[in-house]
Amino acid sequence: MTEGLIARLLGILAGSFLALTFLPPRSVSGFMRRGLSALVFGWVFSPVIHDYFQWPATDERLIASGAIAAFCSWWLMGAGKKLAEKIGNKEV
Amino acid sequence: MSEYQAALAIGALVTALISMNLPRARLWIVMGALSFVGGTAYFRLGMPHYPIANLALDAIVCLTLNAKAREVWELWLYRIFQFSVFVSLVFLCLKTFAPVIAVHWLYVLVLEGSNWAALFVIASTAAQDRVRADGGDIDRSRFNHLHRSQSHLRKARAEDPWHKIR
Repeated sequence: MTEGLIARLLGILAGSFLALTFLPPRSVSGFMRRGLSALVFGWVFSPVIHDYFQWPATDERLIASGAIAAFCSWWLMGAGKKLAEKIGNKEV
Repeated sequence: MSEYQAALAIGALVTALISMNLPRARLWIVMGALSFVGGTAYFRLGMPHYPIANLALDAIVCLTLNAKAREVWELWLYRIFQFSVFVSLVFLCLKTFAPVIAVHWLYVLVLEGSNWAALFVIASTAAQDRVRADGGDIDRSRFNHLHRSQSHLRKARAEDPWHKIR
């Protein structure tokens, strides 16, 4: 359970930090929501990404998989929110 | 220091001199220069995965710009640094997954180009500001009110940064 814990957390933090530059949130509450979701998404999906690329279980690769998972989750959530807003605006 | 880096340093110095009237211009020039020097030093020391250093340093500049920018020209700088981060991210992915097509000279060329673009945005804003402030009066000394900020002539940022909105 705790194997590679720090590496994965580091990767998740790095991915969230990087995503912040591309798709900044609109408010502090948005940042908290997305940050928490990125943590959960990163934690759940980083092993999936790690297995998909068949990477060796080195710290470097654990960081990379965590960063990819968190980065993509942040972007997907931001894109999803924008899409939902667009659809909502059309209906009004 | 290569001739390209020397040219960039001179460009940054000239831009800093031109943009004395622009608030925060020197801050962005210094931050950009530190990011450039840090990334280059990391590469020259032969550290692994060198695009990571450029990526992290440019991302820090990018986030600072997003947080502290008050005028539209600063948001243009933000977009330029965002582009630099994107280029480093793409190059890092290429180096990991397809090292054959990861061309180092092209990566450096694009990053240097974006640095020049950032300097151009600062210098052109300062020059425009000066021309508008003089109101086309060519007899007026260009050295009058050199340090005065003409913020009313520049467009302010429309939205507050995210950390100021609850």
